[in-house]
Amino acid sequence: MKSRSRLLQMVGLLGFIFLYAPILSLVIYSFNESKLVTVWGGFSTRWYGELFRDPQILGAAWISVKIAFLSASIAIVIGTLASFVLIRFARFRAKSLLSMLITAPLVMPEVIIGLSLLLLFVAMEGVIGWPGGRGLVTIIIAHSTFGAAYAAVVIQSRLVDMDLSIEEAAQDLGAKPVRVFFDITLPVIAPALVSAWLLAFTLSLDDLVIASFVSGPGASTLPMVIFSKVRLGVSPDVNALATIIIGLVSLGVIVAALQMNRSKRQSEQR
Amino acid sequence: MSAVPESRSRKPGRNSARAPGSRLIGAALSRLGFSGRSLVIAIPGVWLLLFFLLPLLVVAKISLSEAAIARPPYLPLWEWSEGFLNVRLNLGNYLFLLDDPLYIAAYVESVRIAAISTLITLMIGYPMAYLIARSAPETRNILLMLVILPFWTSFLLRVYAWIGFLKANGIINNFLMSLGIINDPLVMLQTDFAVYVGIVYTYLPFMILPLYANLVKLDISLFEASADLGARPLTTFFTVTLPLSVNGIIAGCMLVFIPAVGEFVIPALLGGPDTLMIGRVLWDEFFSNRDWPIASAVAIVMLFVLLIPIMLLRRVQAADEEVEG
Amino acid sequence: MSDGRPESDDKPWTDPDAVPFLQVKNLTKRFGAFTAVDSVSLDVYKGEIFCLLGGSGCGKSTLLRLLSGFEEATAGQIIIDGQDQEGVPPYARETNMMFQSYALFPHMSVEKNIAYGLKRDGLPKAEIATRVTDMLSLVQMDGFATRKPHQLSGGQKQRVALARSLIKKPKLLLLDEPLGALDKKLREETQFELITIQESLGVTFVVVTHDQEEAMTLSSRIGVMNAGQIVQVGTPHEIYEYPQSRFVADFIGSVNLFEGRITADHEDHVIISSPESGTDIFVPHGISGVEGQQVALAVRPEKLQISKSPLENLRNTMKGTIEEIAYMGNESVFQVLLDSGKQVRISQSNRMRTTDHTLTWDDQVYIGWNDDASVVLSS
Repeated sequence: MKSRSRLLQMVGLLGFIFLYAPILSLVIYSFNESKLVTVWGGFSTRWYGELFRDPQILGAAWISVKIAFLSASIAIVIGTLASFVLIRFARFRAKSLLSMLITAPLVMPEVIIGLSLLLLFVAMEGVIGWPGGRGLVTIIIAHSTFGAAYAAVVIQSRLVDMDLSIEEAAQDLGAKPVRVFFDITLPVIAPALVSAWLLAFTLSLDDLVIASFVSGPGASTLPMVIFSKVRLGVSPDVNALATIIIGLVSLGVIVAALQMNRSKRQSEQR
Repeated sequence: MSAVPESRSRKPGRNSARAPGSRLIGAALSRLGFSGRSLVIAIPGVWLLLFFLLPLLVVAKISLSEAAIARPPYLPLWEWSEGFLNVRLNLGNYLFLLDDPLYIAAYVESVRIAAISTLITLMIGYPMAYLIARSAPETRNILLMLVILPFWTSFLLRVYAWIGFLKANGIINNFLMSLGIINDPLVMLQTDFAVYVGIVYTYLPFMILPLYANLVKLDISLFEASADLGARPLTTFFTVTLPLSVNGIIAGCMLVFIPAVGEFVIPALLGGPDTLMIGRVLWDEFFSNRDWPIASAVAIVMLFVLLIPIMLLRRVQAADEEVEG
Repeated sequence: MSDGRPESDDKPWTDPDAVPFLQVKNLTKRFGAFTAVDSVSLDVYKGEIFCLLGGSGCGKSTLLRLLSGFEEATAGQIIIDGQDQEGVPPYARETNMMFQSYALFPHMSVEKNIAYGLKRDGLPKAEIATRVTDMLSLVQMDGFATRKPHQLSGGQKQRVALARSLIKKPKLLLLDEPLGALDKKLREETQFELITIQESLGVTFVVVTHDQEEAMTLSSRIGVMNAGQIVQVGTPHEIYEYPQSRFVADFIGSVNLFEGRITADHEDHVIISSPESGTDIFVPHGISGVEGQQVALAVRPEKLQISKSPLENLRNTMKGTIEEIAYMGNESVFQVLLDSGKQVRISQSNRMRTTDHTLTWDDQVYIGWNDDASVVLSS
């Protein structure tokens, strides 16, 4: 029994090494003086300097952040409304269709989402003259759509857990449905909205395939720039960029986890 | 007792009389058949119909058109000419897919690579999920966070990291050669092996999370009961744990398999020129050959290939919801 | 029943001229094929604490949700203070509800929770503040105004929930298992506080509970529910001493039921032949039955006497053997197997420490009851 559980722990340990070794190597070699990424040439922060002097990368990063911010915001609005309809509304005819539409983007291959949206935009332009070329707007629409699917998963699970009688109590005390939604429902599910927004933001920031399809000239996102760089082989400034992203994400996740632990402890006391 | 009963005794609806303008708009909307309720349904509904379902129908339509050197690069499916509606359904694209062994091979290869990677992911993911589910609650949260954290960092960069590991003068080869185990570098990058590694690596959290969610719910007294009735640990595992986690296994496998079949980035960065995966074929048809009708046909066939796994996933998830509800 | 003197003040239901404050008429609620509330009619008078008592799934909670407006009736009418409530949504009803889970808003402090209803009415801030302070002291929660719900104990949450539902001075306060989440000791204390608060405010209460003890202590009247219907309405005393059906007799307290047939039906007494008990039973008053009718005779365990020697002063006696004795502290319960083969339960209060402990297992005993201790049930 003892040896078996030790074996299990070994497997687990190896699994975590497998998960983290590549990430760690990115960080370590980002401080490598040598241009040959895998040959250690002494400690240096030179690639960080080069990264910050590269207008292409900085521009793309700014575009990506703008897109991610807006599409995450649209995504949680759509995701919240869809979740509310699916969890709180009584059965109506198109309910299962809506449920299918909101979850389908989760399992749809990215190449298909990207291709189909591009073809839609081209066709729409032919018929109604909008969106008039592709770029930020089309990427934001695309990212909002699949971001909403992920946001809906997070928000729905929170809405299911929420005690319905809290909303009823507000109504009983004289609040109309819309008022109940803003006074009670939204504040109670706020933590889920934050995680849903962050998830949609990250997914948008990360997406290469869909953005490549629906993007147009002058709207290269960060992943598109990175992809064209690394397709030609490893480059040290990408390592520096990766390290910055990993640092920010780890910080964010740790803060979020601490926050969640705190609110969980509160709800357990309740 | 003065103010309250009075304000309460108002008839419903009169309370909202404060802003006559908004009431008028509300009345006008409701006369048109719009209640607040249908508006709430309409916003996500219309968005998803417009930007998810309609695009798929457009793909289906274009897959039936003929390619042309034009803008957009396909011929219209229907045309009005001399008062007649001419519909030109062209199954040629699908026949072309069937005819060209390259496409069929790409579908078979994609399914094969995805299936093998899924199995490997399961074999690594199951013990990890089991370990996390059986650890103390405080450690459990930390381990879970460690599994999720890579998922939040850039997918593209995590795939990129493996280039540095696998290439001829990469970390693994340098390490093995410095130990004297090998003399010449192993060829790992641009092989199917690299694609397996890439898929297993990036999709491991998708396997662990549903498995964990399933395993953590299993009542520990089940194992104790089994042991009490004389089952050895391994017997308990095969007769109690494994059958009870079957839903988690299916969910995890489908969550890895489905996106892996359509994967583009991993075969593009880690695979060789002969690693034929259908996502990559679609990408090349679209961006290099600019053959939109063929790309659309490839997409539609891919959807049909994925239909069974997608339905399987939905069924398992629906069953889980039922148990919880 | 009542002795007939006018009691319209504290027993308005005995006054034929009194107008009920809440009238429920033939109310029915169906969920698909399932009928949760089945043609219920009910009158509740101003200032009452009316308890709806029943097991789980009997429809009592659905009835409460119909009153509060969370469910729409399939058929029937609800009239509160002369106003038909049809189509009135919950937020416009002059009822308030105290939820079983308390349903305190987790993101608001105690005072914000209590003030919420007044804010929705658009009252001036100063008035809201005074009324919240007054309400806090009424429920003895002064000093907790700024706490959040998760910082309160179960009993404190219960008080806040009560305060929040009372602050609008509703015409009708609906309470869903108001004491259900409290432990036994706290529950007993809180019961009396609830009555005090109700009396001081004069609000009419409708309480849903599955706990008969709670219903007995709290209510002016009880409506016993079963399978969506109200099977009997009466004061706690009436419900306990004069149950009108086997269900009520069995549901409230415990009871011995003797099945039998009316063999002699006279104006001043009836004889019931009960093969189960092995004897003919004498009932000292006439009943509205016919000869040959199948009835049951109900006798509460505490109204039965038990003795080793024949009970010669009683008309209804039987013989049997003690099977089980349960010592409960305040009383002892005997299970006796009658010679006829029927089991009966008899309870004796242990008034003195050294009560007669001579009764023991397998003793041959006589049991019996006073003429007026039994109730004849025809349904």
